Amino acid sequence: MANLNIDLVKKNTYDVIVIGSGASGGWAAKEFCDKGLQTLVLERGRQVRHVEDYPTASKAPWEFEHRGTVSLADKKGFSSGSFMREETKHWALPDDEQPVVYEKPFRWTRGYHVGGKSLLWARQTQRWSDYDFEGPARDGFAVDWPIRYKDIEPWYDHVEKFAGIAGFNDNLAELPNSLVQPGFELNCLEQHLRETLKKEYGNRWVISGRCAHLTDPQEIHFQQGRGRCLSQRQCERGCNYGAYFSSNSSTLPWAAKTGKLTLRPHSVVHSIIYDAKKKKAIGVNVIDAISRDMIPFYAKVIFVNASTINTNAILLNSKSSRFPQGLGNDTGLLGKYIAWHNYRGTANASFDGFKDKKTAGGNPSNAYIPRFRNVFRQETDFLRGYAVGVGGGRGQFAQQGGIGDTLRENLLNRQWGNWNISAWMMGETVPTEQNHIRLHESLQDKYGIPQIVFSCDWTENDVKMVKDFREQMQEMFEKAGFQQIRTADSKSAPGADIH
Amino acid sequence: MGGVRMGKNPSTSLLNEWNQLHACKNVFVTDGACMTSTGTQNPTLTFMALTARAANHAMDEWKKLNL
Ligand SMILES: Cc1cc2nc3c(=O)[nH]c(=O)nc-3n(C[C@H](O)[C@H](O)[C@H](O)COP(=O)(O)OP(=O)(O)OC[C@H]3O[C@@H](n4cnc5c(N)ncnc54)[C@H](O)[C@@H]3O)c2cc1C
Ligand code: SF4
Repeated sequence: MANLNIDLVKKNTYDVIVIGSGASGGWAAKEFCDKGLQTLVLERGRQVRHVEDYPTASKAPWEFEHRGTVSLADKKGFSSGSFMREETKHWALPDDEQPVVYEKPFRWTRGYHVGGKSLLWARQTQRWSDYDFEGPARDGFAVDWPIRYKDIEPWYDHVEKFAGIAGFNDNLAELPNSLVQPGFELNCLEQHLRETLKKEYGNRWVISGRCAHLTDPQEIHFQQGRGRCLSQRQCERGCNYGAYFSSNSSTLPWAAKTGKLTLRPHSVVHSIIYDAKKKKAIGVNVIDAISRDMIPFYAKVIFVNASTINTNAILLNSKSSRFPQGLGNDTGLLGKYIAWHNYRGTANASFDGFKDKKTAGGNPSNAYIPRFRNVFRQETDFLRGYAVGVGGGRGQFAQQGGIGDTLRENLLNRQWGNWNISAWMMGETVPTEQNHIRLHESLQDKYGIPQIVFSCDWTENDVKMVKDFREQMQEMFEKAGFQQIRTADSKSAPGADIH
Repeated sequence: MGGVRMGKNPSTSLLNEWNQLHACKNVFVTDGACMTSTGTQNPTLTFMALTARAANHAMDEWKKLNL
């Protein structure tokens, strides 16, 4: 028996364990495999092979049974059902996979499959600057970051070279330059807004949002089997050209090629095993999602990359006599100071000009206004600020009137409508101790893992920030000569937590 | 983001400047849970850079047999 156990332990022992195969876990796997370490990636969801497992990527609109909509029967059991589309329904998460308790309303977006949310993301990749890292210390909230821009700068370079980033050298102190391939150009309306804001404010910049798309792939990208972006904008289905960065198109196949990677799907990590004598973690307990067996795996180093909320939950569930409140949680702070981005504010307008211009092709990125509030000094009655995503475009419509030939002619001869523009806020929220997640005392999921309780709410600071966003967008759009300006506060539940 | 925040002081944070748990150095957290504050930028590029940085630090420590 003893020998059998030793054999099993040996069989299940690796140099490194990475929990989660998403955007960050994929990077851990790549770095360790590149250096020759035996790396086990544990992923709770199913396998998603690049290209092979993108069932809708090259489908034409008429090939969808319900023209993109999902039948009520198929939506059953998905609380995200109202957003479900036929093109992307294979990424949706059934509610019974992991029920959670919302003590206060919250929206939590998950991607449980190999690649995680790197297959769902909008691929925007702006760097942080010291105006971000110095925020808590300057404004007196949370705790000071232990690092500054100079500590992470070489690693931004490292990641950007490999992932491939499209954008421009914008030369802004608040948004350091990335290592870029040619960016996606702004259209004439977005350029008009850029010129207006430059002239009127001198510190508000409309730029092309930097994004993880290959516009000029280099040798390192060809080695990954990835090609140039064709701007088709069907990224959320999975991209057969590997033109945008995902774990599936980039880091995971790269790690696999070294022969050092073991990727184990259907492996729900239950907890991390702590050895009090060795004073370190020695492995993790996994529940096999298919057999429901609990299986231990061992390694010298453990990387937890299960995405924010799950990483908190795994540590909270890793209880031992040394750490009765969860691994590393001597202070009781684990799970506290949860924060997110504030997307409540939106603004829309139309423009009665540029009738002689139209757009051609799609832009898989969007225009972006980096934070301009409270950057260099405190200037409002709320802390921090917001960036703004901006998208302008000119739609086409067809007259629906007439019958027979007239109707056919009307439908075939689509006409250009007005130019429209929309803007959405991305606000910084200030972490507070009250905003937390914890584990439920008795409720469990089907794997016997305690359910996560969310207790997060907006603060006064967030409300003031939304108000400021609406006022500022109104003013900026007016200065740009836009019409029918409408701003809104969705008052949505916090979260939309995609990070 | 947050919940396992980085910081200098083990009594007010959970992770050190290399994303190691202060109290259990061979466990690293490099996804959004490590974020001390949220910034306004889409954060994934920063998670990826922190991950690559921490992984290479882990390997340096490994060579020195500190893990
Ligand atoms: C619609 C949308 C748009 C977005 N747009 C952007 C954007 O433009 N820019 C940007 O920077 N970010 C964006 N994001 C966020 C981005 O996708 C995430 O920040 C990023 O994927 C996080 O990486 P991660 O490795 O922390 O987690 P994920 O990519 O979510 O990966 C975590 C993995 O861990 C697995 N896992 C979870 N729990 C366990 C467990 N117990 N055991 C084993 N495995 C587990 C999951 O199945 C998953 O595969 C967007 C997200 C969404 C949903
Ligand atoms: S826009 Fe680019 S990355 Fe997106 S699906 Fe098309 S080719 Fe792929």
